[in-house]
Amino acid sequence: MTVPSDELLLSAYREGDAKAFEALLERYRGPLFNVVVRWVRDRGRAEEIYQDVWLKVIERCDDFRGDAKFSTWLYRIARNLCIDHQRKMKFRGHASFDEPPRGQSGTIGERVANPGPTTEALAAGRLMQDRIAAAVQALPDEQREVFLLRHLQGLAFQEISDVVGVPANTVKSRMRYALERLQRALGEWKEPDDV
Amino acid sequence: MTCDECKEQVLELIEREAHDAESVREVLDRCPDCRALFDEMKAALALAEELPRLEPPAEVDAAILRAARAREMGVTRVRRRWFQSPEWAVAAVALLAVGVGVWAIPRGEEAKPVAELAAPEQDDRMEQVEPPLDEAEAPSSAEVAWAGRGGAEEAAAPKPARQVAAKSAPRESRPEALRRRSKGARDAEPSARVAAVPAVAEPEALAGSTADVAVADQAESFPEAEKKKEQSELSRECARRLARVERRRLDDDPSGVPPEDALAIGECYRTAGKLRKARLWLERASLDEETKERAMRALRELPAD
Repeated sequence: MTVPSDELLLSAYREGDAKAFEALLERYRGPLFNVVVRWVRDRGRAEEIYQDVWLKVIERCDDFRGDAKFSTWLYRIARNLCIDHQRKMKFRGHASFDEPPRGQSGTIGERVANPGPTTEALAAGRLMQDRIAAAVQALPDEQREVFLLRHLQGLAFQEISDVVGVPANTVKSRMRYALERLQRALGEWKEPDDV
Repeated sequence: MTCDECKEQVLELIEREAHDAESVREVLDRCPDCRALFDEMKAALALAEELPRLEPPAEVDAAILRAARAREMGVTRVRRRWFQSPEWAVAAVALLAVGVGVWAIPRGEEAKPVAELAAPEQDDRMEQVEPPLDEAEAPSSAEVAWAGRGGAEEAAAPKPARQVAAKSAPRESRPEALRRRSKGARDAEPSARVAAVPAVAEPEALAGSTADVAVADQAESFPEAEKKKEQSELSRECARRLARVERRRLDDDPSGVPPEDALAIGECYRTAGKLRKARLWLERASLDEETKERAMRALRELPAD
């Protein structure tokens, strides 16, 4: 039995089949939520944005013409909402995660994301996971989004290029820089442990 | 293949998207730098596999599915009664408004008798009294009226009063009124006095028109004030309802919010332009049979964020 494509499911939902929507949600709920959480770095806000993304899909599914893949469309909506959120945060004068506060070295993202190992984390063997998550959080926005779309959702470089709106070669470069940064960051962390 | 080309393709090789995988492998075999980059990338990707995966809350997914089902019901209803869709209603009302507007605009011929009504009075005065020069000069209200026309004409209603005044004052009299400012200039130009005669009647007519415009402006500002008051009342009502609901929610389950309250709060948020909250409350209202239809209608009318 062949698995129906995303576009077919969306089309079925447009025709009134709610089960088709459930199938789409099931396919994308995990990756989409992870991308949004890693993007906005705030679980509560990520939940709101995640819900908004799906509500927009519901509202605008009639506008989806099938020129792009459903996944591209979905992540473009998510990206726009995340960017809107970041703009609002900046407008309201929230401190930026990516810029070090005045008179301090290191960004808030780095300091908050790396609170140091807790006993529980160590006991559960989650230390490395926490560090990787922190290293991902510390990536610059444009590298992080490419990394997340590629790594969590497995989008092709061309698809990511459609979502982000830059050429595929730029996407590849960003991915490469992201991996280099991650490797450096995790290497630095690894050394003290090994000692 | 050069090292630079190889480095460009290392990532693709790992991700199995390389155009020329064989050539990249060849370079990797002979160039330690390229091999180091390849290993580094591979290690980073392997580490990234450890990135913890998070799950969205089940209640958020449930809310999304509820919204999806609600839309599905909305689609069915719209299809059944397409001619009753809000778009058609809006278009029909807009068409009607344009039609009435076009019909209500007085044509030149229609407006003429009104102008003629005012004209005899002017003629009478012209015949009976030749006003002293000071009197002719006095009515600066004519100028005020003329000066005020620019701004006043922007106001929309009630137009007929202003149109009567405009018709009763011939357009040529504006330069005349301006000319009357200077007595010396008038003396130097005998014909100016002749031109000044109708200006006796003109100030009155124009004074009347300024009064009309003032009244019209007042009449316009009254609904504005009413509207503002109504809006503030609405928000007060919203605040009351919200406070009541919030008080109850402290003790009870949130689902125990009266659907009418949920609907009203949703409407209030919509009026206030807070679409996300409006949507949440309207969705809540749509869960109840009594308020479902109204809530769905309001949800459909909500603009996109």
